[in-house]
Amino acid sequence: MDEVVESHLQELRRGTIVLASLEILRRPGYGYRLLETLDAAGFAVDANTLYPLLRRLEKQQLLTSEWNTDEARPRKYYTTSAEGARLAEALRADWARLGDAIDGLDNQVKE
Amino acid sequence: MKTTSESMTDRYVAAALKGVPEDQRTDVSAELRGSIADAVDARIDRGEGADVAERAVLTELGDPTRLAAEYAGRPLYLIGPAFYPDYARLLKVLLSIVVPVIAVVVGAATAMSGDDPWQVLISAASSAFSVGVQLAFWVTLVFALLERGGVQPRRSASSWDVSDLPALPDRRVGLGETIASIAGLALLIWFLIWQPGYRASLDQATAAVPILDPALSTFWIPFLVTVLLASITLEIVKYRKGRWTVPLAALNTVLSLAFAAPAIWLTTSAQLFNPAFLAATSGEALLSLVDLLPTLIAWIIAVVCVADITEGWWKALR
Repeated sequence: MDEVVESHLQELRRGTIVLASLEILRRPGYGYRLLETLDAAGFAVDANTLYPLLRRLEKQQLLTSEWNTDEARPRKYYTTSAEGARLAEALRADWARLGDAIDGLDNQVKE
Repeated sequence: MKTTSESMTDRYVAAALKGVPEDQRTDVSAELRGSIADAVDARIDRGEGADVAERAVLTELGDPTRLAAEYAGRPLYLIGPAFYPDYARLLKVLLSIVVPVIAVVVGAATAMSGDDPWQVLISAASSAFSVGVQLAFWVTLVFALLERGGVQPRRSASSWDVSDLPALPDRRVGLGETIASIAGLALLIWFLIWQPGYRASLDQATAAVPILDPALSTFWIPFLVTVLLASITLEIVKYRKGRWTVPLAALNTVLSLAFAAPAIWLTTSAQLFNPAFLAATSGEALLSLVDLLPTLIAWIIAVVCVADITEGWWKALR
């Protein structure tokens, strides 16, 4: 039963990682730092999901990237593009709408 | 100790890069190495040993082949949901038609050469089995290649429209049905062109006797092969249209008659079989079967032809 619950939760969370990443990366960030930020903010995500996801978002031009070689360890910094910001807004709006819709269900049940 | 831990990350990154396009390799590799090093450093800061930390980070990242597939955008399955219905349908059709046919043909052939019943049963079963395995393998291979080749199935969700709905379920021409028909026609062409010879025994020393009359090769065989090739073209056109239409049914009638009429005439007027083949088989067991063969073949051709013509008109007009 736990596996069933887990798979449904995963399904529900799927898009939220994209939204959270786009929001966090409005300020440039690299893979591992993003992973930690997401974790601290309460978004459970595995490194092996996040790293390929970042490249996919970059390919879709929702993120731009730049190598920073100033520090001892060169890091690839991602930044949300204008298009990425638009997507984040759309996702946020839908998230809010869905939240209201689910609250609306409660009222219907009570009636 | 440093070198062993380095080689662990090296091995991991190399495995994760498999299938990543050449031009992205350096980039992915540098980024993945950086991310692993960041995670390892974070663990070391928390007081873990370097080796333990690295092992833990790589374990958390999981199977590198999975990561490689994600990076390369490669599916982790052989045949995905887009192709699976056609794949399953085709495999079912082919197996349910070809395997029994092979069993019967091989069984009849071994029975004709006078083997004992056990031998007949064993050859029929083993031939049917190996043909079934071959079929399953090649069909699976073709679909797996389609999946990996990035081919979009004809009925993709984006291009679908309600007007694509078939008027009646059985009016639609399926991919499986089409490939099965084409395979059947191709088999006939193969038989006509490279007709396997008949051997009186399994001994390779005896020369194979052609089954069909060599005199046919000047006109009738090229003619029949041309008609069959036209029929294959018709199958393809029909599949692309997605259904039977009146012109297709009419053309199908012409082609069916163009094949059946000469084939029946040649069979019944004793021009089909090589006299040498009939002579070679006449002394054998199941002699009566060989005598009946022309009548039997003529009837089969007639029935198949009528069924084929009727099916076309039935599906076109309904």
